[in-house]
Amino acid sequence: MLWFRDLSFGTKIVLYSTLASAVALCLVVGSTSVFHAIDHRRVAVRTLTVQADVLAVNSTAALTFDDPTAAEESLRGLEAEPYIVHACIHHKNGEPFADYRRDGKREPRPYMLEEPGHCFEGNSLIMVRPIVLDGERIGTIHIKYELTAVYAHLKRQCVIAGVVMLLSMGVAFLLSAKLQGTLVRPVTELATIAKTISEEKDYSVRAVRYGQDELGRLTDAFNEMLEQIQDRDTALQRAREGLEVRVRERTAQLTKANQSLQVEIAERKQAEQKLEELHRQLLDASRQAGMAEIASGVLHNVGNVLTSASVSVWLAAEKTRKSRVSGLAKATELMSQHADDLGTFITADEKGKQLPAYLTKLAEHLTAEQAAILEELASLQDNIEHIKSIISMQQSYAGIAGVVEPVTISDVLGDVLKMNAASFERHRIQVVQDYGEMPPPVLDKHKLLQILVNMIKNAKYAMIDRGGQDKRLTLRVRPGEEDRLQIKVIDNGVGISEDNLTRIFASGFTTKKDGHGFGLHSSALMATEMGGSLTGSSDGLGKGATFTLELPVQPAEVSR
Amino acid sequence: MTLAHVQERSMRRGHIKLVLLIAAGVMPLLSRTAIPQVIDQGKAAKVKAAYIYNFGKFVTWPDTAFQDESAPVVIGVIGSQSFVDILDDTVRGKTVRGRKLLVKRVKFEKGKRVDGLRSCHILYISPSERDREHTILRALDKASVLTVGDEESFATNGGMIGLALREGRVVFYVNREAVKDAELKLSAKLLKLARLVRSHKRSKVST
Repeated sequence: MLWFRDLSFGTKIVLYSTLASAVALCLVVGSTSVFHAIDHRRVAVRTLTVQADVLAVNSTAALTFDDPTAAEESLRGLEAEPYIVHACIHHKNGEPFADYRRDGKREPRPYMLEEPGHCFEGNSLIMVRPIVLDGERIGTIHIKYELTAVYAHLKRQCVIAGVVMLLSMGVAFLLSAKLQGTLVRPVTELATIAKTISEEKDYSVRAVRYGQDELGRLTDAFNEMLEQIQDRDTALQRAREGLEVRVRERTAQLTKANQSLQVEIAERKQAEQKLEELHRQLLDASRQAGMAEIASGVLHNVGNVLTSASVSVWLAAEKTRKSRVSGLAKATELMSQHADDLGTFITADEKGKQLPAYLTKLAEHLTAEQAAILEELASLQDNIEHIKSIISMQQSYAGIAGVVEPVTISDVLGDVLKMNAASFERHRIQVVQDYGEMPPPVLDKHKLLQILVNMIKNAKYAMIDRGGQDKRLTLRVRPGEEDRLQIKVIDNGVGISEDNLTRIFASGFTTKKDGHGFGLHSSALMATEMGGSLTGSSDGLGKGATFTLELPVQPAEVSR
Repeated sequence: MTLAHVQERSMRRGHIKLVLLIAAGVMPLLSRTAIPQVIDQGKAAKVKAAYIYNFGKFVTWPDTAFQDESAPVVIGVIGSQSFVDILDDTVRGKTVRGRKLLVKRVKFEKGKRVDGLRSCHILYISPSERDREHTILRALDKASVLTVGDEESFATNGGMIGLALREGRVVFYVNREAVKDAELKLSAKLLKLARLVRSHKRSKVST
């Protein structure tokens, strides 16, 4: 039925009216035919009943007085009725008495009804009536009536009705086709105007009204709607203009606000710069503090070495002062007194006799002395070399911050250990060095040193604070993930409480009596500057701590 | 030809029909197989009795003929008592137009009152009274009595219905004049079956 929806309004009206008349005619013809068929049957039954009864009455005498000829004569009266094909009279006991056949043919089979009544058999109506005389049944009359004629008549009627129906449909079609214009024109015009309006947005046009019927009212309503739309359009236009003014005002306000905001942003930027400056200064201060730490370490080391050097010098001087060289001088003086009789003196004189032995002993003694002094001098030389190396190491780290170069981690760690060697020895701290194989990373050696110094110093103090035996510092270097390396400084010192773990990197936090709280903070900052990180962990107080420095193998593209 | 010859004629041509007639009209309870092949004198009398009874159904008497609604139809017989008995058997338990039937033997003696005859509705005069039948009929004098006798001559002699056997079939002759004179009405259906005759001049019932 989809195709039907798209048909034009006029076509639909024509189709509807034609269809309606067709349906109505069909119903009329159908019902009439059915009614006719039923009526014809009823009439046939009634007529036949009457006919049979008349024959029955007329046959009473013939039946009573056994005169079938007379009865058959009566039956022959049925010849006037062309559709009665067979009639017969039977005795009460069923024996045939009189018989009438329209065409002379014999009935192929006996009638179904033995008792009075009627039935329809195929195209026939069979009527059976009793023959009653004076209240007593004396026989039966059967009549067979052909209904074919009735049906033929009905058929003819149907054909005529069909023809009439077709004609009516034709007339209905023509009429509706003719009349649909009056219905369709206003609708079509409305549709056209609606289309024009929707295309041109011109709400000033109005539809023409054709009458006072529903379509006229529809047209009126349509026009009224257009009027309302036009009014609303105008109101909308006005509102839009007002809106523009408001938008302009608001825009001006916003622009102003924006300007003040920009000023504020500029101020904030300045403040930020200042803050940054402050931060940098703070960093510098901390770095300088770190430098001071290194310097003090160096001085301390130098001091230590100098102490042992001065001891060596003092020992050498003491040995020299207490030397048995004077004995030699006495011996030589004694020998020179007896220069003439040296042989005699040695062989004869009591003193002379002891002289060779004395000399031998003296020589031995002096040789030992010389060796001891030489040893002290060597030690002194060592110490001086040590001091020289400390100073040169300090020089190698000083004043080269910000420069990256390939660094051998183990060397830097070795330097840090050297710086602390004296105190490690004094506090009997055992150092375990566990360095994995790796190419030297490229980084700021100075910063690395500072960080490591801080880390190792912290570990050292943690272990000293704990006291007791078996202080062990483990340095472990391993390649990390993604071109990074890991340096772990593991101690078995006092450890860090869980509360403090989160605070150890905070600026100004320290657990040492004389600490300034910048060490780990600046180390962590420097690690970040180098593109790495510094983290600490501990299983708790008394269980040691592990600090892990992670650094990129190549310097970060943007540091800071 | 008398009814006594019915047997042989029936055997020859239409005895089945006769038997059926008896079965239908006279002895409805008698089955076909029970009917003997030989119809004797008694059977012929029964047929005659049935006819007489059935005529009653096709006759209309004037209202004055009955004393009241319940008055019976009286069938008088002038003749032997045996026929009276046969007729009595035939009509036993039957009615004509709602009236019961009463069979009685009547006697006719010349010069005596004929009230007994005139009070009948149907009067059968047996062939044995042939000699007197004319006198009897005259004595009735237009009384509303359906007179039934034998042979065509009965009707032509002023009787109303004469029974006879023709070609194996029972036929009856009707004298409409006599019927009309007695103010009786015979059904057209009956008349259709009847053979109509007129009274001989000599024997015409005169007033």
